[in-house]
Amino acid sequence: MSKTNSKQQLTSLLFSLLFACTSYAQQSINVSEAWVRIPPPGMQMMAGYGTFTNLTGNTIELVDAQSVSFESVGFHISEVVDGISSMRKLDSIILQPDEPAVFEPGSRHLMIYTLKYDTQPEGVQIDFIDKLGATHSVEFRFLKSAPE
Amino acid sequence: MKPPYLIGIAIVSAAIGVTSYQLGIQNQPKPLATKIATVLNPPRLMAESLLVQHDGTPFSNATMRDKWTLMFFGFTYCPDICPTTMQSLMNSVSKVEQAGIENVQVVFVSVDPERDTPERLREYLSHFNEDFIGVTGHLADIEEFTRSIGVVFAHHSPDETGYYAVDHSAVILVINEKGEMRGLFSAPYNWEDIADDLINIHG
Ligand SMILES: [Cu+2]
Repeated sequence: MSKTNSKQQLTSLLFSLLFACTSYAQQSINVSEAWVRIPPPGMQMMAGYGTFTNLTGNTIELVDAQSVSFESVGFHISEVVDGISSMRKLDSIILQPDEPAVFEPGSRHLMIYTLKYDTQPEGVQIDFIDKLGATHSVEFRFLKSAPE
Repeated sequence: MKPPYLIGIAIVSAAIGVTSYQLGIQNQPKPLATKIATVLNPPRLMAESLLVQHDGTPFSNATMRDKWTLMFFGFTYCPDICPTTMQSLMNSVSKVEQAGIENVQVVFVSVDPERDTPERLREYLSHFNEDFIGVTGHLADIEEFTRSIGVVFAHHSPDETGYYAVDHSAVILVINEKGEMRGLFSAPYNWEDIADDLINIHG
């Protein structure tokens, strides 16, 4: 019994160490009001939003995004030009220090394909990878519309 | 990035559509004071079409008789602009209803009939409001209908996953109780201004 307990303790210690490392890495970027739009039934694609703030003194270029919960995540922008609305892919997102990058409906967004679970969780983690290879993990909430 | 033929269509439609709206306005003595809506004086009769509603019944001017209709064009596989607009229209309609105007409806015309079957539209729209009406049909019939009202769209080529986006006019038409186009909202718009202008135009 006590052997199992110490094993559990060790596991939880390892987990908290791992968590501490992750949250240490997270500190270079903050995303406020991070949310993913709950898709209409039968719809497998959705958009994610939030305000990205670079907390470091250096430029951070996000070149990729991924999540264990989704098939794929990418950077997109919707635009209305001459009355025509269209959407295109962005290769990367540049975060300048003290210059928040806003992702909001009708503009820049995360283009997300296919939730891997049958039941929608309350939130999901999305990992952003910068040009130097560092990972920045962000929790997103599922919401029907933008947070008030 | 933008398909060149789309630009061509946009220019032609701008020439025949928007100009004729504006000429219409100039010919009239006093336009309605609105926040963001363009008001058409005189109103323009809507062309009939061969399209169908999500319940399988034909979509015609009779659908719009005795109602005020907000008509938007889009596709259900659009993850950003379309759900955002449907959400806005949901809010606009509820504000207009609170002002005592009960006969307002929303019509969503698909510009992507291959993926937007009547059943798919029903499922999609019920997420926003059970009363919203989805309209689809054969691509050629959708093209004919949209062309008649100066709305354009163009399909992109599929990406590596097979997904394709559709560029489309970001316009919301206001259609009066007689089935005539009474005005339009050009992007950007917000739900409150749409509601206030609709209340004003409705009179
Ligand atoms: Cu997108």
